[in-house]
Amino acid sequence: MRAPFRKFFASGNVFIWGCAAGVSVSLLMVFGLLLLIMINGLGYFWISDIVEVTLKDGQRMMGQLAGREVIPRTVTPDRPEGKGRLRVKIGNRDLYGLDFKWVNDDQVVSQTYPADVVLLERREWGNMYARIKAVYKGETVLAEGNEAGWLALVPLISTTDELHRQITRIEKVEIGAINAEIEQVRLKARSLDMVSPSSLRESGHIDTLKAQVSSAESRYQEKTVELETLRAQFDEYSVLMMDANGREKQIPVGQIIRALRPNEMGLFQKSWIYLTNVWSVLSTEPREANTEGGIFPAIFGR
Amino acid sequence: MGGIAVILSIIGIFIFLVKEIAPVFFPPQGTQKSHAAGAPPLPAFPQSSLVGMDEHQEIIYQIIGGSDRQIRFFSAESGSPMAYDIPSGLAKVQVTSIARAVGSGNRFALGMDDGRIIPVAIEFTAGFEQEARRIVSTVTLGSPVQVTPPKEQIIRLAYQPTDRGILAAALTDQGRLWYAAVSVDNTPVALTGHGTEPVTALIFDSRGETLSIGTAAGNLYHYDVREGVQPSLIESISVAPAGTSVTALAYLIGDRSLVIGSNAGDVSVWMPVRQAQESSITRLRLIHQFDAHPSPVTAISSSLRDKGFITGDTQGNLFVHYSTSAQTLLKLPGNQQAIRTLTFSPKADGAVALTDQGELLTYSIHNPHPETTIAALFKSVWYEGYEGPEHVWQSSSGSDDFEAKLGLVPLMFGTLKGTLYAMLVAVPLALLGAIYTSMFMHPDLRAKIKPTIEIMAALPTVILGFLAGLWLAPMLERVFPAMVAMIVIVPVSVAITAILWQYLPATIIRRLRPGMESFVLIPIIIGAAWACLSLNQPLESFLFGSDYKTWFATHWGLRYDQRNALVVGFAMGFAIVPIIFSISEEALSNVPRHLIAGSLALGATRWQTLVKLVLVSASPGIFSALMIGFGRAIGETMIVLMATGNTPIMDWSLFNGFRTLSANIAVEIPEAPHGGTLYRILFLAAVLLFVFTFLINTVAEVIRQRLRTKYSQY
Repeated sequence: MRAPFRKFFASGNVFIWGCAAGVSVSLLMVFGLLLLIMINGLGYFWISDIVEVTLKDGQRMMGQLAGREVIPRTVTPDRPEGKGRLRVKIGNRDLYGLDFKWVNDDQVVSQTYPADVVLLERREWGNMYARIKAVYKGETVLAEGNEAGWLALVPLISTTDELHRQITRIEKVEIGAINAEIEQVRLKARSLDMVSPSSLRESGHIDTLKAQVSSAESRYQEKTVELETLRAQFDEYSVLMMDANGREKQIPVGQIIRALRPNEMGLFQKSWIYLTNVWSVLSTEPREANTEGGIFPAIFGR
Repeated sequence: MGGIAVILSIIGIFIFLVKEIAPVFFPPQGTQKSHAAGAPPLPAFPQSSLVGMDEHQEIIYQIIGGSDRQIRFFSAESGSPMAYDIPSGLAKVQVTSIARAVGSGNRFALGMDDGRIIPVAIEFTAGFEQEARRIVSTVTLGSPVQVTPPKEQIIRLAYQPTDRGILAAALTDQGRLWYAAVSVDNTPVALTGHGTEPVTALIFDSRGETLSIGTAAGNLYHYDVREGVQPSLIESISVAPAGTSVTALAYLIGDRSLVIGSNAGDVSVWMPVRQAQESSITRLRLIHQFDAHPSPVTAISSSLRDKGFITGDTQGNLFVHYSTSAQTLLKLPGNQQAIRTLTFSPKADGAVALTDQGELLTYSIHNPHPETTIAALFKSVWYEGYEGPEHVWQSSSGSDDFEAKLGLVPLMFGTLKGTLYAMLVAVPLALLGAIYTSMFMHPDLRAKIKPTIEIMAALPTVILGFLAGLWLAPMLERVFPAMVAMIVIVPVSVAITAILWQYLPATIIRRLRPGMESFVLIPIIIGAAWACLSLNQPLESFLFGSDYKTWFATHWGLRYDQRNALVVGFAMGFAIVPIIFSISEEALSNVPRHLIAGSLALGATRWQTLVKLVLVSASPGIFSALMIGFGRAIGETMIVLMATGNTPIMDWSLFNGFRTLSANIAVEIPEAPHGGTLYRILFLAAVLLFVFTFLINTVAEVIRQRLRTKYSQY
């Protein structure tokens, strides 16, 4: 038995295997790293189902599961597996003040995935996980209850989204252009003034410039009036939401970017949402101090 | 053309770097600028005059003993006196001694012939009149306070206003020394600790916690005068050679260093140093000795900005010193007129001195980088509050009285440490992989494997640093015992596979293409690693008792930090594997095939051919691969910046972090003021990196050429 071993080592085959291991480890490192980046990065865009957790004290909470860990202190020699806890993204930051919450396993009575829970993606305060109680136009009730409310809300969001786009266009593009024009005129007047203060008054330049400014200002007034009517329409609709424990919160529909019912969606629909999420991160600007929205300015370089 | 352009750009970069650094090493400049005719100090009273100036060096003032015009202002430029009405509080008093409070601001006390003192403050405010700056001085007089028994003249005085009231120590014409803390207890206390030795200098620290008394016997008496305690003598120490006396005392900014001047001309800095490791008792020790004056030192004034100070002597010489670097930076010769008192300007860019003849001399001192010398940058320095000379990098802090510690050695050490650990990870992996890919792999497979491994080089290092800092570091902390086990288990499982492989039926082996070994090994390595990871907990208790951190702490005295050299070794190793792999693989592949074929045909095994022939003849290429990998690791910034914790400590331990030259530049350049000392030192760090890489490349090239000529006969 010993002779073949000696022969084997003398042949150096084991060292060749060692070299092969170098390649294997390098390959594992490359693919492991790519896999690691993808798992950590790409999972972010997936819309997971909304869980409704009932706790021992009768309280309920809704949100998306964001992880699970073993509580470090509970690991003891006779209980090596320890106790676990869930991390739930509960959203509704305007109601609770925090986005995530830890729940110990032993506090959980039941976990269900009700189909009717609504996820609201909002311009401010992050996501909301709740049910719809009523949809309002001003003070009048348009629809009541979760199902009717959902049917009424979905078309409203596209209406307000269009309004939001118009308002942004007027604010950023049109009024911006008028302001730029006024600034140009001011700079022109200033440069004339610096060259020869007297010629500015005599040659009638000043009157043309003044006329330009006043026409720009009147157009500015028109735009503000237009903005006001749009804003009034934009703020008209609102929806009354109710969280897992029955707490209510009224939200203007204009604040909602997207309303989803993830628990109802199939794989295909979720994949579509996934792609739109990827695209919106790549193409939109950040919101809420860079914690939400997209990264477009960082890609483009602004 | 292109080559020349590259060389020119490199030379250009080098010239720019040198231009930015050079001012640090320029010697300071200083000249005696102007003079004004002040009042001569009263010969009978040794401490009867003081001078000073505003921060713009426009107005100089003199405070003089006597009963007439005790405060005088002069224009610094022309030397002409400026009109000033003496406050009525000074009209009928006989001033016999004057003391300046330690710290910023022009605060003084005038000691009088009846044992009282009058606190005085002079403030300068800059106003603007028709776009021209005008400095206005304001004199504020406090109410007189009795600090000695009445009818004793104050000869020498120390004065310090603190938040618990005025402290004063006064030597009277009766030869008695009195201490008074006004507002705590107005009764003066006689201090007798110095016995019969004549008192020659008195000073409080700026917080009013200690009183130091220098005597004609060359001794220093240290009193504890903190709040709520009776003034008590805590230390007496001989600070001047036998037969010489202490003639001047001054605290450097921060109150930690005491500058002592003697009548032998010696200038030295003393600091409190802890007696023993655990004791809280400190004793003054001589830390720095400066160039001696040729005649007795008469006055010391410390800078309000840094650890610099100036000294004057009886021949009129004015020396500029810097405490941290223990250097006498500048010696301005005098004209044989003794300097009686002097003051550093508030911005440390000038000085004003009073001679025995009553002449007020102003100096301008250009010394923008006093703290740097080659020795202070590269040798260990005894900093304030330390127990001995050490290499320290700590360039900035929150407080003004901070001593900048610009030792570059910890950073050079960190650079080498990071590079070493990265090479330890990368070299075996990359070389083994390169040998296998070039020698034992089917060319088709090789054409796929090589670019795959080279992909690693395309990954931005910021991603590697990010993953190392935020994913690898916490994970490694959890599974460290498994990692230790993997180092043994993975190679062993590879060896076992190799042994078992030869028992496989020959038909199966023949059907596999050369190079399949590495694919066979992938599941085995994953399996071995997974086994180690899942056995992490039992392994930890088996290898290290219960907790590996406690084990290392108790057995080897090592502390585990999450961001450590191990993490950087892996991450930076990852970054340099593709470089070393790629270049050495290329070198190995270029060994002529007929040599290998000949060797195999003569009966050598594949392994013998590799070791005896291929490695030797490819050694120049492999060597340059290693050197290029090394150079890459030295300059690497983002990985070390994000994964080391950036602690500039000098410790080879695997479990703590370090700070490299490159990461240090990235961390500190945004907060370094343009043109300041730190800014220039960071450029110096850049030059060091440049020199490091240059040296390594040169040595590598020389060795490579030698290897090439040696083995070119193949």
